[in-house]
Amino acid sequence: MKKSFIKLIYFFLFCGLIYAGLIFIVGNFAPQDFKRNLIYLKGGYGHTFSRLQDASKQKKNDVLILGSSLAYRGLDTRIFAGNGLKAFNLGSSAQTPMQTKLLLNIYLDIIQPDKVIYVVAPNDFTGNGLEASLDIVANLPEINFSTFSLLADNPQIKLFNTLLFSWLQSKTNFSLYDEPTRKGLDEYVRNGGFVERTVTYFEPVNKINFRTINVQEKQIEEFQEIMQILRKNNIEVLIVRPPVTSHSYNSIKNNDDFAEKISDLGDFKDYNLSLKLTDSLHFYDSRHLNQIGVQEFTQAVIQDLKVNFKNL
Amino acid sequence: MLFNTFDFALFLPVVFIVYWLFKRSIKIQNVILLLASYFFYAWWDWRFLGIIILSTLVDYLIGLQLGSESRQLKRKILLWGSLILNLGILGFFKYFNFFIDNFKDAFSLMGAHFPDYTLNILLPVGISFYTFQTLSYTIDIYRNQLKPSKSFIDFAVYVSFFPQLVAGPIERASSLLPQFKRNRSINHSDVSEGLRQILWGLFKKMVIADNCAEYVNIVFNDPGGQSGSVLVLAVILFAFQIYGDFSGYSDIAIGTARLFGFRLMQNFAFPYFSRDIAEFWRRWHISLSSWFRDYLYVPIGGSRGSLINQIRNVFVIFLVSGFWHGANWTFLFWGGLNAIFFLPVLLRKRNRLHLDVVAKGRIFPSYNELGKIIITFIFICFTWIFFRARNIAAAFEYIGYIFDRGIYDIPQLDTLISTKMLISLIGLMSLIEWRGRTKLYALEGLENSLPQFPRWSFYSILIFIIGMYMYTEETAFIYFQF
Repeated sequence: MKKSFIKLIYFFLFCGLIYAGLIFIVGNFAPQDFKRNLIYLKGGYGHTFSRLQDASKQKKNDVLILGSSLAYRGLDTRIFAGNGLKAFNLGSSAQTPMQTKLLLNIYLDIIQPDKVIYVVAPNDFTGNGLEASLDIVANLPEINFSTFSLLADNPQIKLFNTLLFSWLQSKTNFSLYDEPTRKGLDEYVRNGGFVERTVTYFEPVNKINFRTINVQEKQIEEFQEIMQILRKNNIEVLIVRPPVTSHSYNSIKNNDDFAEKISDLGDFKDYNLSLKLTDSLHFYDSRHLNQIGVQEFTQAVIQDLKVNFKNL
Repeated sequence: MLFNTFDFALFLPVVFIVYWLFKRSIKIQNVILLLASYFFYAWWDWRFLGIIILSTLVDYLIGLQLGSESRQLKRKILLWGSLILNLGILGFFKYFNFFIDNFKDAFSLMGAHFPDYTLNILLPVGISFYTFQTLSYTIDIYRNQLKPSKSFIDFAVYVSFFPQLVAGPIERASSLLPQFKRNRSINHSDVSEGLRQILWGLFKKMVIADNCAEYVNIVFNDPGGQSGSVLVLAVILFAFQIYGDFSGYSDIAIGTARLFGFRLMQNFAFPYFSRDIAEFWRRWHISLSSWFRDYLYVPIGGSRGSLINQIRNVFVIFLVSGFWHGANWTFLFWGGLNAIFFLPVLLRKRNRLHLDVVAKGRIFPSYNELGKIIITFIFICFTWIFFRARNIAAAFEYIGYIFDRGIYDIPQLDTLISTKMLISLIGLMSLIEWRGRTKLYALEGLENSLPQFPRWSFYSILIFIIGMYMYTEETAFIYFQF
């Protein structure tokens, strides 16, 4: 039995090396068909690479913005700057509290914000955030032990493979990547994290598919931990739910339950109730504001920040 | 708890370590195995534990009575008591709604209408497997081929032994029960063989079966929207899905049992390399086929007696086998179809023509052997259409679509894994299985034929393939539903 255990340990070490080697070779040289469980998208869909690179260079910000694409496409850091506030947007695609916590652990001490605007939406609390984890893991400048902690929340092979590959890439500097500022309709705002989209307009549809959002307790626990981390660092937080089209907002049957749950955890404001926007004028799809809507929303949030936090 | 989950990956080493800490006491080891088995089963639904415990208790008591009773009439009553209870429970959970529905349909044809009596019954996982296992125990005692177990714990753990509890192999009491009564030991060879067989089973399940399933499900859910070549490919992939799924489960079960010092019977002997349908049925789900042979086919006459009796017996065993798989006319039809394909072989007395492994001592099969293998595989694939289809009409519709549409274009379907990649992986599996076709499983005894470095490299590459190409949604094993 002892012999078996010793051999098994040697085998796992050997297997680990072969596995890592094959991941490296397949990840770098094989066609996409051969990478079924390796999702390594540099840049992602929302300039995550550039944003995380910029985040590493930040110092002493007035405001840090957290959340999903609703955050990095919804709050324009240039408008904050126009109001005398240095802001950085650390949102990423489909980000859930699990990933927000990871990013805070890495970047909070670097960005050193006075205030945090945490952009939330019911969808952020319903899944396991695998998509967002893969996006972040593929684009982090450095993979370290704490990044692997994502696996504890989400023990999935795709995440493991992508983490391992990303780690190997960062250690070997094998494939250097430079993300263009402009990708399709998206323009990344350097040193701000915001992504501006060329103005297009949403075409409203009549049919509404009503649904009930089931918030996962695990995500709520993560959210609570984030609030504790921020409180511990004496950072004030404004939790905001950004405007979406009335079509999208009304399709969720339990908006009130969500608002109640989040209000219990901090200062919360739902801008769908206070900001009167038009589906066909202020949005480019059912959930994302176009630049006209972004200006309205960002101004409203800045106003509220100044009212809520007198020392700004 | 599924074998292909993180839960099982934690459960197995914990039970393994605790179990071998008490290697000096088989009583404690059996208690550990019993508790672990009940825990394993309760992970799905603890309420169904009651059925296993009831079945175990009744058969234990009946077994003891049968062992001490010499009057034939009373022995018969005891045996029937066991049969009625076990088959009654199985019948209620598995077939109640089927019979009620068909009873209603039959009477509605005559103009009589009955209110809806169907119940919302949840089928306890693995009930068909452990029921047959306990039945073999009482029947063997009745036939004086086995002494009853005096220890309740030994018998209970025989019924519920977690590696093979939910999908077999269906072990005979005469083979497995004595193993609970003697000291077990484990050596390096057992550990490496066990782990190797588990690895091979995981590859077949997680890479082959689950990826085939994605393709097959899309096509069978909408056969009308597919080309003929896609439909044909889906049938072939279903053949590999069900093989990878079930033989993969069996490999994991046998490998796991080996880690605890137990030897389970071989359940699949490379059935797709069979040269005729009789050979196929000697190599597919061996534990069930041999169960039916010993407890049904032989008692009703087998291949003895008049021609009519022989034909009847073949149909009986295949129809019952089909019905065992599920309460649906498709399974009965599938069984009947196999009987029709089997009969010419039996009646020409060629059913025992291919007892040995194909191309023994050679690397490649002859053209004749290859032709026979391909023809047998085509027949088997044809029967799988009925096994997989929603109902018999849908199966015929599916076959009709194959011939209606062009079958000469390259099949393309939008799945997570590309068709080319999937076929390559099936090719890899088939090559490895061909190489190991004389063994109990494809990788058996690999340490005797390969030095450590290439062998470990091979395992590592296999692990990499699982990691890179496994289907990532959790999927249950097909045979759990039976």
